[in-house]
Amino acid sequence: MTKFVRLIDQKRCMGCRSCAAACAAENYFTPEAPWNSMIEYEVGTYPAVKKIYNTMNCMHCERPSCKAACDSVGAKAISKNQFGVVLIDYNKCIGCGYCAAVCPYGVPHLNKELQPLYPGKGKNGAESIANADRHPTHRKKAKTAEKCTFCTHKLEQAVADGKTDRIGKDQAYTPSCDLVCPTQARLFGDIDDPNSDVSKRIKTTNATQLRKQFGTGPQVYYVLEQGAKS
Amino acid sequence: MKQIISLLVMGLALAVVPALSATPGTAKVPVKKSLERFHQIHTKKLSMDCATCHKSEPASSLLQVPRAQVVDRQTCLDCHKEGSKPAWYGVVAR
Repeated sequence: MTKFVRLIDQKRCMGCRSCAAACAAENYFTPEAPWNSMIEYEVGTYPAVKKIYNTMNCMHCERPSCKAACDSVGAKAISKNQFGVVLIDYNKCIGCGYCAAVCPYGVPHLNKELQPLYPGKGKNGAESIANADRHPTHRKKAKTAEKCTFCTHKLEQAVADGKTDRIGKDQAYTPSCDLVCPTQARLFGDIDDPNSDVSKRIKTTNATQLRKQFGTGPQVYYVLEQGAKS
Repeated sequence: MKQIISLLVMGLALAVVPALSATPGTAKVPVKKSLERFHQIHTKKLSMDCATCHKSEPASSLLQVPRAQVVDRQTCLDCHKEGSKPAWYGVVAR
């Protein structure tokens, strides 16, 4: 089996937001529905204080609460594929917002209206691509829920090219946010392969998932800074 | 006379068949699912106060949504864990 996971190392992250910028450009996300954002907070007591940078994107849970809620309203717009990627079908989404309401990480966003990434400054390069020419996950629609897809268009390309072994290594087959991190705080790969970099690093760093009490089994692991929220 | 009776029977049949097909449990009535309905269930049916979910201090939560809209899902977890109805947390994806 292949199960893709992401590792985010808070001890390395310096809060530059390159990951969020790369995601915005790659996935045409609009201001109302960011797929990747940075949560900042301080811990400690003066003078021993420090800032925690916690980048958040979809956790692609093993037991996704968004899917459970979506199924319960009968829309069945959310699925989990063979690589463990949780995806929203915009054509099935009824815009009820239940997925956004129940996610323990506040990940899905209801995109009430389609706005350019830079309002008032016209479309950026990627936004000018016709809807029909885009990957289905990039064919945005107003009043539908959106979220990170683990750059599933790249994973699909790897499958099509017979290069799944290059996922997490080659630019064409790796999520954009993980490629651009200047401090190598992000890593993406197959956790079911004990020899993959991500597997080894999760083991050696004792990385953990956030908000485990919800029982959703997130597929994003964090190396927590001392005092950070989990 | 026969024609009148047969017309009456046909008319009765046309009136009864749709009525039978619309009996409760068989008819599909579209229900509008929205966050408005979501809020009505919690505030009106369950008589929950807004502040039960919408905390003024979002410090304990780790959420991607803007801070102004923060609802700590810990409150949701108390009622919607595995085994409850509807269950949202810990449910295996099919």
